[in-house]
Amino acid sequence: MRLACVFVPRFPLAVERLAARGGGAHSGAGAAGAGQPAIVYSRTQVVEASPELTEAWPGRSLRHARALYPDALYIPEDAARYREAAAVMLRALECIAPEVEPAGLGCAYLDLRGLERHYAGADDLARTIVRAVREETGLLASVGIASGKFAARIAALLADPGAASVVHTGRERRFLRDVSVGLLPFDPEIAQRLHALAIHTLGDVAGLPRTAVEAQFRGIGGRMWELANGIDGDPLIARRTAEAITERLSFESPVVTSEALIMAARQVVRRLAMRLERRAARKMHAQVLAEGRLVWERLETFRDATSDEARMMTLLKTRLSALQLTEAVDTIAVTLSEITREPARQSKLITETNPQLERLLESVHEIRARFGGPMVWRAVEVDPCSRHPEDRTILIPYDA
Amino acid sequence: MLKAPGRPHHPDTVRRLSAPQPLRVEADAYGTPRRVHHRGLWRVVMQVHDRYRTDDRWWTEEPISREYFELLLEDGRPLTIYYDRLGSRWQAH
Repeated sequence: MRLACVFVPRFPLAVERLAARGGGAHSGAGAAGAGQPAIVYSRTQVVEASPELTEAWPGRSLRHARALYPDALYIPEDAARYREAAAVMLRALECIAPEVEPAGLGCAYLDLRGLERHYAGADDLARTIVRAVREETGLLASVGIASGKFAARIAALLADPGAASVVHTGRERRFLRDVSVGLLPFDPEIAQRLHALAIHTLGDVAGLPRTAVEAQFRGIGGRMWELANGIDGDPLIARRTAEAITERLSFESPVVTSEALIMAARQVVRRLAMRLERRAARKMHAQVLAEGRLVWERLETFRDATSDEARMMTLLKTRLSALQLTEAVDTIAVTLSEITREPARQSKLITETNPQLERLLESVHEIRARFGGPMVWRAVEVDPCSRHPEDRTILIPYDA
Repeated sequence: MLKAPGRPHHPDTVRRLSAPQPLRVEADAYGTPRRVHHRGLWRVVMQVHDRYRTDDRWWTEEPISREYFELLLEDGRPLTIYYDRLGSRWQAH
């Protein structure tokens, strides 16, 4: 099996740098200057740091980092933005190879079986991957191609950003010979033990009898020996692309009140419920965006699959009511996923219908179909006491 | 809601009722409207029912500072307009 590892070094920092330049699909507020060494941090820890800040490794306490590098640029972690950038990257990769396995932020494996004949060679395919990631995300990825995940990952790690490294079949052991044991996918303590035993490279491990490595390292010894010898049967597990349905609604002018968002959400959920068509969803993912940039998101998992519009809306309304917007937003999007058959439920013996309402809805649908868009609107009060008349009422397409 | 940018209207968007529209106004030296260009015609302002100022969202990047006038026009129509103090322009609801 041939596969590729696509890797964006220091992913959170790369995304912040890109945002600071205002480029890619994630342009937005950012402060990561181009040349200044920077540290991305969570509440108390370093998340990622520029390579020159050698003592500020991920996981190190922020207090230590600030003491060591007082002049570095400190950027608060924006996990939602990184996840969004990673998702865009995965979608770009799935346009090249149908089987893609995510392997953490900014890293993924691609199954290349059957693809190489469509390209001039492995190098051409690698360049295509780099270009696709760059065009869709603005990020510079490095690509490693090999017959196993481990060799491909090492090849990607060693390649320069934007470049590719190809390990030809049968050459894995030779390629890995001079690689440090610190790059083995085990705990750092294992690497320390190997160094203490004067085993510094994968070539050193490969030169030992398998039984000796197994005796020393028990369960992982065999795996370590195999990896060092270029034997890697770790299968690629492609991510499931389960059916998901998304509806979104944009505001003509940005809004800063949650009331307007709730009204729009009601419409979005109504449309989703109609699209479910006697099926039910287990998960609901709500996002609020400003000029395409993610401002807020929430993933909700229902206790059992539901198609109940009221139930979805109750949950969404609770979340949106508590939302305190710090900036104006212009779009709300809701995605339902893990869609299943609707669970059995006792239905009403006598259902209530309103013939007049049904006729009205039918007419609205006809008008919409004829003019290609909503022509009938529902006026909804969102902030009736506002001092600005335009904030008091909004018009929502009347289509459900 | 904030400003009314001149973006093209997408057919499937949430719209505002009473969105502000640009308006031509002739005002006196005190900034009080005397004539407004409304529905294709210049109309004389017969009465200013109310005049008040709002300053809002000064903590955001898009602050609001408006001087509102509730007018009665010569044809008997009421009209609410405001002077956008930051954009130096007249708008009508």
